[in-house]
Amino acid sequence: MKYSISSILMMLALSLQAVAQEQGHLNVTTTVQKQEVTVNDSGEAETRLVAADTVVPGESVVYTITFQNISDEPAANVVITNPISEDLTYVDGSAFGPGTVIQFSTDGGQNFAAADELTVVDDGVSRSAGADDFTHIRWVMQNELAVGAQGTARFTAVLK
Amino acid sequence: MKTVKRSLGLITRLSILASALLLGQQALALGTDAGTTVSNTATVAYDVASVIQTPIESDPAGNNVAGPGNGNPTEFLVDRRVSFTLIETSGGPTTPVAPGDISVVASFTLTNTSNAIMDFSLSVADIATDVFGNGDTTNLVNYRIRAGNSGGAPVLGDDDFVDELAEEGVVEIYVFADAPITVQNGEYANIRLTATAADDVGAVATPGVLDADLSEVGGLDDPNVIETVFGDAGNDGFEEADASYEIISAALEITKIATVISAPFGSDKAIPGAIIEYTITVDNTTGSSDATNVAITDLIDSNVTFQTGVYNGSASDISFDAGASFCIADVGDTDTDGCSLDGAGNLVVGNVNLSITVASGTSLTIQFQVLIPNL
Repeated sequence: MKYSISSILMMLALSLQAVAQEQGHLNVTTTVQKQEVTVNDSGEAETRLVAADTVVPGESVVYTITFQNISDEPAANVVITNPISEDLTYVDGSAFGPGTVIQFSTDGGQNFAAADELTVVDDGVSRSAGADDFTHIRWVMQNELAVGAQGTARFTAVLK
Repeated sequence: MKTVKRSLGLITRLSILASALLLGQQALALGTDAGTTVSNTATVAYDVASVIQTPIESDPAGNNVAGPGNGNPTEFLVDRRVSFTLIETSGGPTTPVAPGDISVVASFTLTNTSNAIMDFSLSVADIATDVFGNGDTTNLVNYRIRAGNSGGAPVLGDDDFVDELAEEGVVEIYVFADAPITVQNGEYANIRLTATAADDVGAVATPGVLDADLSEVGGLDDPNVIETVFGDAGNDGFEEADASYEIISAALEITKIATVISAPFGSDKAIPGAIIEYTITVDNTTGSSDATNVAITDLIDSNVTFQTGVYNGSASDISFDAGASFCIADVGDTDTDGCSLDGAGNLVVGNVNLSITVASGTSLTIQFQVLIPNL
């Protein structure tokens, strides 16, 4: 049976649309908060996360990504990729994610590597990449995400 | 076993790493513009049973529908951080002023280092405290503040507030004042200029209109409203700078001494027949400025007779600085030597024909003689 080009394209479009609407296996949430440091009654500094309602340049915000397996099958090779806004500077060492390998990209998400393995070229001179150079962060889970299990990824950035 | 619709080969695997949305402009050096929405979306890719799944975007409230566009960015609004400097820039420790001067200028510079365009309301006040080590000993009047919003030095026709100053913008502010004729050499008039940050609540540009002064509304954080945080010196939204006007003037001290230079019977008393020599001294030794266009007037008492031809041989009536120069006190100064004496006894030394200057640090004397007539 022959199909015309336009009908093939329409079928592709429809199947793609069907794909686009499908219920996924994970529920993914990203929240943004500010760190508030207070001194408690014992004179110790306590840090807690509060709503990021008032943010001015120079202040830091904390993004927390949670991903829960809401399906009845385990999820494998879970990779959380997060582009860093141009208005933010990643805080070195702040990326956190139990059971993950954390990698960064300096080229818009095409290549990822550990932070200390990345280099950039500045005026023809190659140097180690710094927090200012990162365009993306990603967390690569090392194990399966079991049914019902939830993973967490977090990082801190300063508003430029 | 679930069948999973795999994306067809004609369409490459969609790796939607939804970009961080950037609304608003990026400010340089002063921080992200107030009103900018900073967005962040994470995307999770995964396999199930070795089959690659369609990645799922994050949502602030959680999203489990796979595919691009089904998540929502996690956002926050950049708020306004007020930061600016106000400094006095008159060029010297004080602004010199002469008594009677009109519209003398003390100048200031305001620089906006906030992450937003801002108005500033301005006010000036006399202060009684020291400025640049000078105690406040007098006041000027008729203060007028002007801001050079069009760039460059302000003029009297300009606004009296700073209008829509750009981030990193710099504006000159002038305080014009008048010096009463009564202020004295060596006095100082100290003033304080205060600039207060002002902006429309919604950060809407209102050129030509002064916005309301900003305040920090504590505790009412609203993620959808641009809030204000004071990051200036003192964290109070206003800055002050002081200036000192120094009165620079001549300081004339006038003295008149009468000396009997001859009298009948060898006496030294002012009796009929005696000649009195008057010495008038105009002393500017403590002045900081020259006294110019000095005119000395004296009323010769009708009971004495002004003596003519008593100096410079018998040529002149009045002697300057003990004979450095002379003049004749004629009616109407027809000889234009700068001295005149009319029928009513009005002696005038210094006029349009003779402009007398007593330089600062010097003094001038004139001398003339009168006769006490025999009755």
